Amino acid sequence: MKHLLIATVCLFASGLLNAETNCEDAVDMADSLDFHAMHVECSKDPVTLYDPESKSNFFGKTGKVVTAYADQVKTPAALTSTAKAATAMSADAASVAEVAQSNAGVTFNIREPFTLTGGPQSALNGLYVQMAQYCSAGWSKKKEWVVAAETGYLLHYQFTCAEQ
Amino acid sequence: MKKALLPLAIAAVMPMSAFAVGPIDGQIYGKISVTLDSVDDGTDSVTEVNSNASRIGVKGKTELSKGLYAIYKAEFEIYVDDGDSGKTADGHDEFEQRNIYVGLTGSAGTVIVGKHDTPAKLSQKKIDLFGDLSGDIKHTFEGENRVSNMVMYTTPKMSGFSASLMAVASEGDDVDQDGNDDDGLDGLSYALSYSVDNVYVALSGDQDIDNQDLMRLVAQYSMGDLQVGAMYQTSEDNADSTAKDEDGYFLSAKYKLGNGFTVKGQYGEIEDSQNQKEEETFSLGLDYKLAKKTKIFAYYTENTDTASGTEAEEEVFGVGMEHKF
Repeated sequence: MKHLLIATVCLFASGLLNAETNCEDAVDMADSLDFHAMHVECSKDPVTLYDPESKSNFFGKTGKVVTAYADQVKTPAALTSTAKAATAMSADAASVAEVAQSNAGVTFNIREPFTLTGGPQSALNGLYVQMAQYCSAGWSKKKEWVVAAETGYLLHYQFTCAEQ
Repeated sequence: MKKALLPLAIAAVMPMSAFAVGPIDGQIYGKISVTLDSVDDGTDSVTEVNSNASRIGVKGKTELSKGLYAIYKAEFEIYVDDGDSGKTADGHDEFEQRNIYVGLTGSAGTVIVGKHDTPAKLSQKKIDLFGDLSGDIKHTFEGENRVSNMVMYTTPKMSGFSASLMAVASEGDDVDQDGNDDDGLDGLSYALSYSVDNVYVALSGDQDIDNQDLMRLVAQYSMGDLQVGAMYQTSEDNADSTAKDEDGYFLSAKYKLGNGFTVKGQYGEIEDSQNQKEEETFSLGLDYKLAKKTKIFAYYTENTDTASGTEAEEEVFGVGMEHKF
């Protein structure tokens, strides 16, 4: 008991500073007690929402209906490339509104290539077109990371569509 | 639709740069660690190829509501050297259960149920620089336990502070060694830690876990390329009345030399003064990083066990490779 008291006093006396999460390899984080960091803060996996088709309320919070298959996530049919996205969104407002409603609360991972010589601007443009395509009602960006590719880099965004 | 046209159809609907959207909410991870060891126990010297806690796991999460997640993890040890843990009679145990659980995590903390390392074990953080090798502190110190039938709660981090409490269902075993079978949540393990910037300290302990009551105090500090760690532990064996009050300490340090090289060393000693028993472990090693997740290494370990005037000594020299994925 004496050890416990001494240690507790030392711990609190050492200051109440804000701690940041240090993300390590998954296999290393799996051997830690920081479960929330391993599963949430340091996870790049897209979040799959609880499917509330049979139960739309969980602990008093409203769940979100999402389609279960990637090819059923609604996007305007005309949007086959990021280049076409902007024009299509303005041309087909009804379809875009449907997408916004369907994807509300859904988290996506997207990516665009860039090179060091060309800079990331083209990738940013492409990413923002895609985000607008998936979440025409708005979004919040959750994560950003870069992976080396054969001819440069891939800039990744993880974002969640605004809730209606 | 012809199968050959299917990719084109999908490409027409989805932008090529979108990925990983859908029901897959898991990640496969793991590591392979193998060494070529020369093991000398004082009478014989044997060359061995060893798999050092190589493992494969899958983990994932599903958001139930805003900020509340269902989480799971299933991790298995794999025996890269011969596919055999040596723990079963038939030798067919290519996969051995490690930490496996399901639970919930959110702003109020994390609850998991299943099989898991105790908080006391995990409170050592990264001070054991030769973990899973012959110099692993589990060969010298008590308290390195993975227990079944456990429920654990971990608080969220609050200004660097965190606490974990694990309760273990005894399921009819006499876990406290009092002569009566226990049938509740009788084994306990806890950890209270503080971690901010380069400093980590923890106080942890077990009660009636693996027939032991123990307490350990851990500290780790990083300063530039140097990391040092220390641990003090005291334990009591409830099952063996002749083994009492084991006390010991452990020190470790590693230093990044640059160009991918890291040199490291550690020393630990634990003593049962009542029975004049003493165990020591000493290790030195050099790591070289080939890539972010890949390293090769060489190490030397000497483990000594002295009891009643007799001494058993094991020396291990090994070279190996570790790759994480």
